[in-house]
Amino acid sequence: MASNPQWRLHQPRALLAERLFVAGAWIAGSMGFLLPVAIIGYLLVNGIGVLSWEFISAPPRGYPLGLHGGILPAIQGSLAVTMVALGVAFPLAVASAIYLAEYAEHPRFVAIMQFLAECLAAVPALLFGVLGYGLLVVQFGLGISALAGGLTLAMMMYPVILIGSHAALQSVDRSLRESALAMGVSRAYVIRRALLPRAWPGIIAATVLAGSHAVGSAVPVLFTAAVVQTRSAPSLDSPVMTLPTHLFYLVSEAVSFEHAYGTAFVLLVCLLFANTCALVLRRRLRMRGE
Amino acid sequence: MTTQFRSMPATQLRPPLVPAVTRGDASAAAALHTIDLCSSYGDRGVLTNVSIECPVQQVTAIMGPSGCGKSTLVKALNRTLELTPGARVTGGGVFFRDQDLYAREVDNRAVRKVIGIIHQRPQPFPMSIEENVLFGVRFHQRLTRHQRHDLVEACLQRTGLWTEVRDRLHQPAHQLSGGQQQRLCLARTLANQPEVLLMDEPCSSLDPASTERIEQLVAELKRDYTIVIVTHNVSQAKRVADRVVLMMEGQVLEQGEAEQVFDCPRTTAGADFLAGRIG
Ligand SMILES: Nc1ncnc2c1ncn2[C@@H]1O[C@H](COP(=O)(O)OP(=O)(O)O)[C@@H](O)[C@H]1O
Ligand SMILES: [Mg+2]
Repeated sequence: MASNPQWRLHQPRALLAERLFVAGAWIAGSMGFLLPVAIIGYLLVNGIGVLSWEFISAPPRGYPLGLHGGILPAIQGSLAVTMVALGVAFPLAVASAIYLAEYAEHPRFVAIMQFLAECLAAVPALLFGVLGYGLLVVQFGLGISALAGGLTLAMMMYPVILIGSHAALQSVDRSLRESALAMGVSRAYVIRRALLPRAWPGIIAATVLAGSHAVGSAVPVLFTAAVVQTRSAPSLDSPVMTLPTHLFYLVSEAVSFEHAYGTAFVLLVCLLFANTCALVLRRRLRMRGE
Repeated sequence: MTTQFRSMPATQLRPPLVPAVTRGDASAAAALHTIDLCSSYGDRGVLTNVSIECPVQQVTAIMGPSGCGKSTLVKALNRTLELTPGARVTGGGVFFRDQDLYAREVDNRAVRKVIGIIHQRPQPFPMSIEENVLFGVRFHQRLTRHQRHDLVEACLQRTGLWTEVRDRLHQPAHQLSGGQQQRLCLARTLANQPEVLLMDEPCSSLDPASTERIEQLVAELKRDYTIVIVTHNVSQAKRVADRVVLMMEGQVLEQGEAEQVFDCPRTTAGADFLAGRIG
């Protein structure tokens, strides 16, 4: 038997290939873990010197501005702009998705709308910034303000939430729709009680993705909402500071790299916090949607 | 309990029924009948000139090889066929107490409420067991908390589920077994206070014990409802049916009293099917 190589129990080459494959898969898999940890660690190590309670609870001070003090107005501003954006984009996008998935009659119309939404999602943030400036700030006279910035971000978020929500609704079993409608109830009732509970996890996922991108991008708010310094608490009709634009300012004017790292760290922690909340919410909704 | 929820005034119903669709005199022989019904998916005709009768308080079994259009026919009976993209009724009509269900002024929601349907695969809604039963009722009627509770109990009693689920009414319905889910689907359809029950192969995804349970229910329910049941199981039809419709390739091959069709089928194709030589 030993004369026939196929019958050998010990196959070193196959074993080696197997080991290499496992190692490769392991390295590739650990990238997904290492990259975010490395980024956070790097920011933490470099920015630890400025991180304190004061950093997130006080306005920036010093000359040039930002050399001392904290980033409270930027946190508040980012929050305000994001709330406006979410408040506008979320209901509009979910409503559009419901229309496309449940009411639109012609498959071709749906396909065209989907294609347009995908194009819109691929438009660079810079163009949204320019559009927001030209249209909202100048044409509609909103001025550089939290409202203009929020609406600009809303335009950016809209297609992403729309595409995700549409996919979430479409992935609900067709026969569930049919069984529910066979009870003699209206389409709106079926959507509200049978389809949305199944679709919420997907909708939330898309919204968090869109929201995180929007919070982190400086370009669209740079032209439409942001200033280097504000004194009052944020209001809709006045300009605001935001985390990414503050970060941009600190770096581009070489004010303080340590403050920049600290700011980036805070921004990242905020995003992580939002993502964690969304994860918990999705778990809950998924359990309820079964 | 059952009679109580069956007799709730029809005036409370929403959406308002077209007058002739409301509970009429039960003396009419056929609760439901079709005349020369034709339907198609896109350009492909599936039913041609189907004329059947489903008498009041009887079980009508629709049988035939798979793909012959049984599901299409029952869906056409309560206007749920039009929920399938491309599917439509192209000719003839469906009549409930002599009211044409495809007439323009008839509201398809009212039709679906009065003529309930149970599908082959039970499809519990993503909510609790109790809310599943109340799904249609919450839309059609405004009930007090007390009435709702009574209704849930009555419907679950009727389908033999009450003792099994009374302690977990608030748990998600998908946790039930397949047979229990099918009876829950029956319960929520009964909660809608229908007059006709359409069942499209209700046992084909169930184990033998659940199948027997459903067959018992059919026998009990026919006292209060007109039942149309699709099955391609000849022995099941022999057990439950009062009347049989045999179909083949979208046409009615024969129909009549159960004994007559089973004992001396008029066509050779019908005899072959009943003997298990086709489909
Ligand atoms: N959604 C659909 N689109 C196109 N054709 C369909 C569809 N559903 C069923 N059919 C066709 O219609 C015919 C009858 O189907 P069906 O009524 O489901 O048969 P049965 O229930 O007797 O098995 C079959 O030939 C099937 O291929
Ligand atoms: Mg079928």
